[in-house]
Amino acid sequence: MNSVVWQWCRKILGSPMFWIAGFFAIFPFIPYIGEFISMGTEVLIWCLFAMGFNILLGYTGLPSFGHGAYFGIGAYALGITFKHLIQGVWIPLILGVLVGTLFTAGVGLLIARKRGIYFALLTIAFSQMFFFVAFRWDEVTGGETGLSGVDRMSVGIPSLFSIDLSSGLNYYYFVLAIFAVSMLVIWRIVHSPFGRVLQAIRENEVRTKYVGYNTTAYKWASFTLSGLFASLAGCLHVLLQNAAFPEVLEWTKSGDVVMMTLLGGGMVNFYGSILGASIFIIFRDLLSSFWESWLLLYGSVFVIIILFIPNGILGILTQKKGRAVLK
Amino acid sequence: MKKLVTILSIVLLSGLLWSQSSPAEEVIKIGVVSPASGNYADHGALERRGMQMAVEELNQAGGVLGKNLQLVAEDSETNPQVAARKARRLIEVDKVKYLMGGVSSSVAIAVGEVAQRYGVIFFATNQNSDTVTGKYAHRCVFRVPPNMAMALRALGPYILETVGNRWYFLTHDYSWGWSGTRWARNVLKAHNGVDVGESKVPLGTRDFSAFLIKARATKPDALVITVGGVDRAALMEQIYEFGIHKDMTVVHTLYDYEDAWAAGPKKNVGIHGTEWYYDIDKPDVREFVQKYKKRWLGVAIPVPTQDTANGYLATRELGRAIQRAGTENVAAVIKALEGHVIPESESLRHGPITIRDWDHQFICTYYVVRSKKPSEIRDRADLCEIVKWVPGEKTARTKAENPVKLEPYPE
Repeated sequence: MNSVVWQWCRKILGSPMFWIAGFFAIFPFIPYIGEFISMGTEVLIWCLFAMGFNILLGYTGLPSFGHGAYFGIGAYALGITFKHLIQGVWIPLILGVLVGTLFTAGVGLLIARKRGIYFALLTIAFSQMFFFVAFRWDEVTGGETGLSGVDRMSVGIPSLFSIDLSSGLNYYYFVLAIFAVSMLVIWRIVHSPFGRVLQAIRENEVRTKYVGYNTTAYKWASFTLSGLFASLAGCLHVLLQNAAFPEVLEWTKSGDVVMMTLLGGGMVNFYGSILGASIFIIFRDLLSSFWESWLLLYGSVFVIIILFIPNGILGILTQKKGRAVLK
Repeated sequence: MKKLVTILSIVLLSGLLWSQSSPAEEVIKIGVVSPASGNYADHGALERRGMQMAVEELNQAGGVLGKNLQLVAEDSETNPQVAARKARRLIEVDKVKYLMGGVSSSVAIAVGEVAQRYGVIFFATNQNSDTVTGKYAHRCVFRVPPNMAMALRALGPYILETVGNRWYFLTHDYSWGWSGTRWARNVLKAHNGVDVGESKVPLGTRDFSAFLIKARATKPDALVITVGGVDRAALMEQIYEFGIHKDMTVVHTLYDYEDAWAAGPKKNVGIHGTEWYYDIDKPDVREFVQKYKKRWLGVAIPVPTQDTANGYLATRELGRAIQRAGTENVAAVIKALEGHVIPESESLRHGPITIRDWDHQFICTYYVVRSKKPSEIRDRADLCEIVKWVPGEKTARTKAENPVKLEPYPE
């Protein structure tokens, strides 16, 4: 056995990423739960959103309570492109992500100097602004009634092969592929020297500045990157439900992604946000089917988690002596 | 890492065990996507009660095609994304062929989109936006309550005749509010009335003093209000506190019994348009109200509301349509519903109901009610008196006004 190949195999098999992607790859074939394929797709999309968000929250230490806005802008940009400009998959998708990222970059320029509570409040203010634009600009966004009729077309190489995304299963694997690539990219980003600087900013911004880093630029870049993944997730979501609605931009809904990240342990582990998003979506969905007053139980669970395991679920497992730190 | 995989699998497996349904019986499942939490939770509860009553009635009478009907209810949280997810789950996992549910037009449009793509029937039970049977009409979607065009064309002329032709508009500042004021203006213009002004009220407004003072300054005959939900409850309080109702007639274009109940008899003033009222003087309505009181003893609102009646009608008509079609096949049931006329003896209102075949709108009567004075009421539930009713045929949009083209029948 070639030792280099062997080492690579060990490395791949030893990586949780391989197992996570593998699990999702066989998910549709698991009896009973596999039938609910669109739920799997939704979980993947929210995992992607939460992972991107964690670059900002977990790694840079900046709490954004308005990230739903960039998810929503991506979604609307794709929808509007599809309805008014050009039909297809790739071009609206790329445009959607581009527009979402540009908006994040613009907002980032205005708020990157802030930190802590000021940063958090500004993110809420901007998300509310975008929410009201989407909610009231009927001619473009469809207002309250949203933008529906966004079809999933086929992807592929003309005359070679084509995959019809309108099938739920095909779309699931399409999203899984994007999710897996994004997971690798985000892992690479946060473990690069750039990611180290973000972590330094989280630990002590003033000190990082004195070492010679332009912390404002780094914070802006972190914000923009997380916006990129948020709008990518938003685009995939609009394709999943064939429609975009303004509710997702509202700041109360933006709290969901914060909750997912904290719940799973995104503050202490790279995979925490993935676990958190999966549990959040599945738990909520099942719980609400079983009991009308489910919010009571749901709220209590969160209070208990925040009180007793503030580092989230993965926080318990990886807890060592002293403070847990996300690396 | 291993622990992570273990946790993930435990979570998913517990989900598997938790949601394991009972072994298949011979039942026909109806999926219900209706709010149990959020702004409209009370409306959701009221419509589900109506649906439950219809299911129990049909089952007692021997079921549909020899099978029992069964409701599978999911909480829509009044959020289109959640509602769409719940609808997909009902279709994919519970294998329902029929969906229904209400409150909020965006939820109806989101669920309608899902229903059309999966080829299942969806009854929108409590939405009044014109778009549900207009721009976003689908072959698989039926809408039970009247839309804003029907509401204002019924209410407007009565206000012009009995109150006056100087109107001030209070509009909830989004699609639904705009459509109410737009149709009101149409009626006003057609009768050469005077539009004295309009205030747009942002969603979530709790302090209406500035709008009310402005309205009073223009000295209108009628204050025409298209504001809904929790905001309306606050508005009703403030209209009473400011004494606005002494200077002009308060008109709610779409009056929900739930809001009036919350405001109480004292603060419930004016002349309004409403879909339905429990005191309609007809044997079938009286029987329905009696049944409701018996079945739902001790619930917060002691009488059925428009939501209950809509939920009941939708479920009953669906069951009967399946029976008429003789099969559970979706296309056949749609055909059995299209053009069907519910006779006056069991339409729960004056006049028959026609399920229009080209836009799937239930064409039904719209009511004008007057709020009773505290001295006139019999009991806590007795809030209004019906002063006029207008058949839907006269008010619904014509094909020329609403050029809808439905998709082909699902396979």
